[in-house]
Amino acid sequence: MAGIGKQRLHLAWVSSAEAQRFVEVVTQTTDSVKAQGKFDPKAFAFELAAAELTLAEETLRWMVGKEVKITTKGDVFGRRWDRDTFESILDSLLERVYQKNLILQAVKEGHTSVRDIHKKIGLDLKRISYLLADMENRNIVEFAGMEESKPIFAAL
Amino acid sequence: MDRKAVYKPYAQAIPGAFAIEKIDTAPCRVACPANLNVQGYVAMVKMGKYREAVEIIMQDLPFPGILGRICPHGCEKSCRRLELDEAISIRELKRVAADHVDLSDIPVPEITSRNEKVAIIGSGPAGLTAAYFLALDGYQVSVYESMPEAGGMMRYGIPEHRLPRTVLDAEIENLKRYGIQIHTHTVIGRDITIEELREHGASAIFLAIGAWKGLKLRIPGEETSQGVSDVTAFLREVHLGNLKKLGGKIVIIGGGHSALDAARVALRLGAGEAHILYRRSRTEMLAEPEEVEETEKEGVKIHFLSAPISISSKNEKVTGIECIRTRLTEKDTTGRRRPIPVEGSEFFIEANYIIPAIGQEPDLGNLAKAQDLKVSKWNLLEVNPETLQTNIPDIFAGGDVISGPATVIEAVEAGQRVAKYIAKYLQGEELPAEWQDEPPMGTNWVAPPKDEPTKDRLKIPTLPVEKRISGYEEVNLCADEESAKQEADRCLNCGGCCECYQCVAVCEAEAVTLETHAQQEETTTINVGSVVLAPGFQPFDPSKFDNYNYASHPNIITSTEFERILSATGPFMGHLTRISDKKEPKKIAWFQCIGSRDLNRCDNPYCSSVCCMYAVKEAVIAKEHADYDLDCAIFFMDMRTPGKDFEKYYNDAKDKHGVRFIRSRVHTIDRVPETDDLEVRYVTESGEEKKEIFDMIVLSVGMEISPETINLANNLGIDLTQGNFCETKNFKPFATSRDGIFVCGAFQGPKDIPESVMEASAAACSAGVSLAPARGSLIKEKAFPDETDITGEEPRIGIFVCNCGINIGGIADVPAVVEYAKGLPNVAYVEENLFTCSQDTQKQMAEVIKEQNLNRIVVAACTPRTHEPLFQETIRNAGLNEYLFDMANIRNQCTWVHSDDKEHATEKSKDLVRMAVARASLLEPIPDISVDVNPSALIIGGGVAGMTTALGFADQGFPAIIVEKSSVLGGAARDLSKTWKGQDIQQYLSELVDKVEQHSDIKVLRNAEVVGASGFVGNFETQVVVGNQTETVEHGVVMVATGGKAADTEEYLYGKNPRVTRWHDLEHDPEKLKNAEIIVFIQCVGSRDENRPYCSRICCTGSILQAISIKQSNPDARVFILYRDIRTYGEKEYLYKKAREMGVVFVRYSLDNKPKITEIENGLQVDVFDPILQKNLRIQADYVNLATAIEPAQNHKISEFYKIPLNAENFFMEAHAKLRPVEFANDGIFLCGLAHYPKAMEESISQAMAATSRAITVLAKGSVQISPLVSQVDAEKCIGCGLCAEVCPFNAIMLEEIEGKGYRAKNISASCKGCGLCASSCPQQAIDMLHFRDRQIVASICAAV
Amino acid sequence: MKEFEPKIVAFLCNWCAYAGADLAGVSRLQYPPNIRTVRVMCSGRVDPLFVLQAFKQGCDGVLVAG
Repeated sequence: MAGIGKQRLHLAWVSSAEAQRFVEVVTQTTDSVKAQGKFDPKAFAFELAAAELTLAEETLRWMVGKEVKITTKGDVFGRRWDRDTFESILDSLLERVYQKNLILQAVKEGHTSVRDIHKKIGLDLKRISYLLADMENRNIVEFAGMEESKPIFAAL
Repeated sequence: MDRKAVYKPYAQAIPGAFAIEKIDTAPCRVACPANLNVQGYVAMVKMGKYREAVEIIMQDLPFPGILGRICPHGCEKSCRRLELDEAISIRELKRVAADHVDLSDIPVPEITSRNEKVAIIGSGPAGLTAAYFLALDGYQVSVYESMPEAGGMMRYGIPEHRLPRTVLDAEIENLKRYGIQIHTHTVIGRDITIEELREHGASAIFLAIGAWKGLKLRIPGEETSQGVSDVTAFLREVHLGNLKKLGGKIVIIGGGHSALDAARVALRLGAGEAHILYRRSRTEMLAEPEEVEETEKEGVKIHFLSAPISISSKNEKVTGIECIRTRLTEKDTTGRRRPIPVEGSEFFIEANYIIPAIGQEPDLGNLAKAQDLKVSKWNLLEVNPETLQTNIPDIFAGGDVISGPATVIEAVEAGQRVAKYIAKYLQGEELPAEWQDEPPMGTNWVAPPKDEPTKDRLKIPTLPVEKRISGYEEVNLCADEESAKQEADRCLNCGGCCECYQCVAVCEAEAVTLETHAQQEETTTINVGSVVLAPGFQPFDPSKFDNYNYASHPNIITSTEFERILSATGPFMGHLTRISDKKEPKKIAWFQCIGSRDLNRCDNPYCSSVCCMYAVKEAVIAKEHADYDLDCAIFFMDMRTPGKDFEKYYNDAKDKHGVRFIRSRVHTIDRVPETDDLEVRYVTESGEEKKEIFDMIVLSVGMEISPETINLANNLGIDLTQGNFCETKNFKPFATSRDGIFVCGAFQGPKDIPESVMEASAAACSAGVSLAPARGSLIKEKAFPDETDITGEEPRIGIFVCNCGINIGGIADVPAVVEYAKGLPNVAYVEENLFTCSQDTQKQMAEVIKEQNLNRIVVAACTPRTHEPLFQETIRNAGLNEYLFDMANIRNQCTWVHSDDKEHATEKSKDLVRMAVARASLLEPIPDISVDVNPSALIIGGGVAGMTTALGFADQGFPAIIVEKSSVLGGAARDLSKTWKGQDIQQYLSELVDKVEQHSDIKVLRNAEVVGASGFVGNFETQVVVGNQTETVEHGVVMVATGGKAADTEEYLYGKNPRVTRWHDLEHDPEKLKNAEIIVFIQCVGSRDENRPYCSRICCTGSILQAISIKQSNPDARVFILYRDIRTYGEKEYLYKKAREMGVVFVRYSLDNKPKITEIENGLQVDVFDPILQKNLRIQADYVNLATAIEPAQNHKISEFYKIPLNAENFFMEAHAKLRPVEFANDGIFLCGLAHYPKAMEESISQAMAATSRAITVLAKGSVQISPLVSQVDAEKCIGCGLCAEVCPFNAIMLEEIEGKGYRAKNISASCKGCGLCASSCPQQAIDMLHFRDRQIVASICAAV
Repeated sequence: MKEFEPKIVAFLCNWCAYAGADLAGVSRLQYPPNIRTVRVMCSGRVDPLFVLQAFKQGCDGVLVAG
């Protein structure tokens, strides 16, 4: 989502007896990362910062932590979600939190109007407005007045 | 076995050390008077290591070049090569080595000088050898020689054409480097006396004056004629240069070397003719045949069987010699054939010179008398034959002076011997008074290779005859290096290790030293209270089956060999390869029951239990290894997979992996012409003849008890079964027939790893019961110094970079890594080690830590998984907390895996060191956690397993509480009458119940149920409801023995028709079938189907036992057993055989075509398809008896209370099927009996004892050390949400109410496994892991780039 | 020009993948020299933030193996 590329992160299960498998995993990972080319953290500094905030976000960590319980035993209301439902909800939450953090980063950098933010992060204007409203409610940003008939925001 | 004398038993051997094969000394060495290490130097010559060869020779004598020429090589007569072709040319190989080495290049070993002086009279081989060894020992040695030059008979007796003076001079000259003083022209008694030697400080004197006086012929004319001279005088004059020319003819009398020497020298001096008279025949000649041959070639005429009668002379000058022919008698009492004259056979030889060469004696002169030395009637000095000491204590004598003329090698022996005893004498030791017999020669030698070809013995080149006579050029020439190598290669290495000590020289770790190399098998006596036998089995050797061609075809291998092929450390690095052409096989067949279930051809009537499962496993793994479509087929009789989860594996092999299972025994294997493939022919169950071609065949070989083990059993006096396994009773499966001796593993009966491991613990438990009072009495507590407080100190990191011999240093540039590490932040000290793990490095590390005030240590070496504990102990010994330590794994995860990329391996090593240093800077001391253990056990379940463990605990002094849900003890055993070995279960059960009830340390709660539990290892609290009352039990361990029972079924009219029973019902009511004529048993009712995809393991044996019992009481009854596979594993197979012999009819059915039962008048009609007859069978049965499945008790609640896992069939899941089969991953909770899996009574008992044994390891300690690497909650950040408690797999975090703050998370260290799941999922990031803190991990990450 | 050699941080579980990696060494199996191992007691210990941290430091890839 942050544009780093899925091919740079690999997950694998290797048991203690599977030396051969370990070699395969490392070789594949290396090949696939090689194909991605050099990663320049400076070029992604903005996205990485947003992603970091996202991963530290409480709701998301809750969702992940509760996954097993919610998909096997049910939530506090006793509803049991199947894995697919859970994952689609988790995905949309992840997207939402990440987008908010992108906006927050943009605001912090001085992109204070919706259009400025749009220019920086490319998200559509409506979505930015919607998320900004939510962020305002949660005291993450505040409405800092009007500038040339555009509302401007500041980070709190 | 094809291996070197230094070998590693096998690739995965533990310890991973090498052994040196020491067997009996090679016969050549034994035969050598000087005990020369022949095999050693021959091996060196083979490798072209001449210098090493000479060094080996010089361990035993100082004259390699001399003896390489003139030794009579008696050793060659005992060479075992003679059994094949001809002896090795040992002497020549010695010469080749000597001729390639300049002795002055061989360093003189470090000699510790001593003050004592020794005087040696005579510089012959005996004198000089004694001088050499005494000098090596540090003594001050002076040699006195009467002649102008040293060497004795080597110089004045042996002519130059046999021993060039350059060789002799060099080897004598060399001795001076050892500090030996040689005084020539010094005659004892004339120039210096014995008394004067003593006055000059000689504390011992060795007389080695030789035998220089020739014996007389004692015939007329000898004394009166000029031209008669004994051989010693003759040769001496020649060698002194006094006699340079000789005209006329010469006759020499004698058959030894000196006779030949004199004749050949005479020719070289210009004699016209040289004759030798010898009174015996050619075969009796003392000189070796090749020497005789060369002599004759040069023109010497040898008259065999001829003796001198008188010497004729004219004008007192010799004119000739009158001789007579002789003949030899039969062997006399001394074994020799005596010559006697043949009358009338006189003849005459014209001669100018007569040289008697018939023997010598010492020329003692005045010496003996002056010193009061005893002299024998042969005019020889008398000595103690062992020590060579004369009657005068400080005077020793040896060599020809005590023996008469003998060989140089015998003189060397005398020199060695006297050196040894003079040294002892000088050290004031008591010398033996008598001859000391050597231990008899052992003949346990390396067997000659089976197919060793015959090879020609080395032919020694000689100088052409025409070149010889003109001078004294050496006749025998040195063999070229290539021929010498080939000759040395003929050596059979009889003695195993040749003791060349090359391994000592190359072992940089100094693990092999002269001392460790000398280690030998020792016999020691140990006093013990119990003995556990675990000698294991040997795989059946199928080479005795000629129809399987195992021995003759490379692509027919055993299953154990196939395991090696699959192994990553195997011959093909885990790549699937067939032997003949190293290609990937496309089709592999397994043949089951090779050497099992077969009385006719291999005497192994039992089932080996493990082969079906391993064959299935091998087939599946082979398919996984192959990245192509590999076809695997298993030919079998019954598929026996009764172990836990085995049936599922079998099903997966069939259904998911496509392994083919063919129910048939292959009768013939044929080679497919012009290929390496094999055609197998077999008959299917329905009688159809089939052929199929495979490119590889694996024989699933069974288990056998080795002859050595049988021998051991006989020595110990324990009984064996008919299959040679250890005889045990079902109720004590780990006890042998002899008290105090226990058994476990495959020796008890064929079994797999989990069962062996269980039984091992069970045997340990039984052994422990009788040893309980001695517990801990032989243990030494280890004490550590107090820990240094490092609070507030800046990190001072010490780094130790290991070369691991060449494992690391041979690939990565270790000095560069060291240099790099010195520049890293906080690093105070860096050093490089050859082996950081070696004991001396540990000592040094502890010292460095103190000297340099280091407070963090990083070792860059192998893996922390094996070596961290060692280094932690070391730094703990230096006063550092063990957690101030980290490792950089630059071997297993760097140099070993990047051995072809040295540059990157070095870079990666630097990175790994940098990461470890970054983390180490942030490491903190962590105190140990120890918790007290409540030394008692709670046992859930009062069946045989539960009661067995209760007694196990209580008998070793640990109170036990049994929680039994019913009102009676006994569990599933109450449904059974007899074990498979025929023992009465009910009687055993009642005795067991009595013992349990009467034991003061056992409390039984009946009608009781566990309703809740908390706590951790050593400190559990379990809530138990008894009747209406709930009580809380505090205990240290939990034993889960909840048991199981025979399942109900609705199949086959059970419960609807009284003629249908379960086998457990029948056990209670054996009378029921008394009058029945036809009984049908149906197996696998509810087992091995969709609902219960497991085998109930015990029902085949159960039904067969009942069938046998019916047949015994009513032989006319007709009994049918309808089965899917008969699984009478191990020695239960005998019962199957017995049942068939008694006429029980076995009919196989398949899951998709089960038998059908219909009610008919007065009975039941059973329809079943018989696959052998290929038609339906209809049986009118009186009764049908069902072998229903064994199912576990309701285990869900127990599983939840203790957080212990269940498998899909509700059996409990042990921590590890093979390695930890009786315990759970959660510490302090153990498992046994049917709750684990269906099993026979003896298996339950074994497992119960095993679990007890494991549990007692916890209880006996009093406290448990638990890993302090646990989670740590920051109470400030924590909001008490409880997510951590929820994600924790081990119940190791709980919420605790804190006044005024609500709930906060709290870690329970004893339960925490340190996995860190809580830390990584805490929404508040309020949890951190000790030793793996966020910042420590992040530091490594940051240092990675 | 030298071939691009990426730096990859590998989080390996002490009991599984780390042991597997050790065994690969014992078996002398060869693989590319690009990974830099961080040993953890369980792959569950790997906070996604660690992964992000690796990228922030300029790692080219991350492997988590349990």
